[in-house]
Amino acid sequence: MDNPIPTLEPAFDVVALLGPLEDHGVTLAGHRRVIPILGGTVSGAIEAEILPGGADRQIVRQDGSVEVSAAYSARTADGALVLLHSSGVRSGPPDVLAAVLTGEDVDPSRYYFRTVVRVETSDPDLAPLQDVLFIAAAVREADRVTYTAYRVT
Amino acid sequence: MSALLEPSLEYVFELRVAVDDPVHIGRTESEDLNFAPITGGTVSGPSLSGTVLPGGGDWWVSRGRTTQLDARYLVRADDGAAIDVVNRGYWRADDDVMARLIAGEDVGEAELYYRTAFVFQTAAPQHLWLTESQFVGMARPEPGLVCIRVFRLR
Repeated sequence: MDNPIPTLEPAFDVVALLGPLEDHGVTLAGHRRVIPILGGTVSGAIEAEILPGGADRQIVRQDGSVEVSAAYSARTADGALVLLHSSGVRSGPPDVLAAVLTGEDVDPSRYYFRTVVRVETSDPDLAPLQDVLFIAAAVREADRVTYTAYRVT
Repeated sequence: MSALLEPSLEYVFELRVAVDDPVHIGRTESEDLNFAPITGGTVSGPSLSGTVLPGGGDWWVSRGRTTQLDARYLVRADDGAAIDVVNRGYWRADDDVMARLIAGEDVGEAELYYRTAFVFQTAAPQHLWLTESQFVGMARPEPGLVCIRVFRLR
C-alpha cells in the first residue's frame, strides 16, 4: 500500500469528574444512562477548566457494551468557551464491563474504551482545532474519566 | 489514577465509494449544504470484503475551507450480511491542492486533511466486531470515487 498509516500525536489531556449515575432504564432509544459531568480540567493544546452542566448520555447494549456520547463545556483562563464532544464505544468481557459500570477500579487494559473527540469553539486561537479529528483511549474510574486526545495526522 | 493506554491504528479495509454529481441545496450565506448520491462501490481488505449498495448518500456542508461530511450507506458483505455505515468527518485543502482537485488531478491522502469517524451497525455475528470498536477513516478523492482507508482504534 502506498499510503502510510496515519500517526497519532498527543494534543491535550482531559480529566472529567463525574456525578451520580442516572439510570433511565429502557427508553425508546434503548437502555439509557446519563452521567453528569461536574467539572475537571483540560491541559495541553487546550488549557481550560471543565464547567458543570455537561453529561455523558449512554446507551447500554444487551451484551453490556456501551455507546458513549459526552458533551461538556470548558472555559480557558482568558474566558473563552470550548465545547468538547466525545463519542465512541466501551466493550469487553461482560464481567469486566459490569465492574466498570458499577464504578469499580478496573485495569483499563481489560476493557476497550475508545472515542472520537471533536472540538467546537469560536475562540480565534483554538478555532483551528475544530476541523481536526482527535481520538482517545479513555480510562473510566469511579468518579472520573481520563484520556489523552490524539490528533489523527 | 490508572495509567493511560497508548492507542494505535490497525488497518482493516478500504472503502471505494462511487458518488454521483451532487445536488446543491444551500443553507445560509456562510454554509452550503449539498447531497451526493452514493451509487455503489467496493470494500476490500484484511478484515472485510463486499460491495457498497446504491441508495446512500453524503450530506456535506461547506463552511469556508472546511467541508463537514455526513454520509450514510449500506455495505453488503461477501457473506450476504448487510452493514449500516455512518461516516462523519472533515476535509480541507489549501488553495493549490484545491485547484488541482478541480482540475481533475490526483491528490494524495497526505495533501489534504480528510479524516472521518465511523459508526457501523449490524446484527450479523461475524461482523459484530464492527460495533465493538471505534474506527477512523483516511480519505482521498479519485475520479467519481471517495476512497477511504478504515482503521480500528487499538
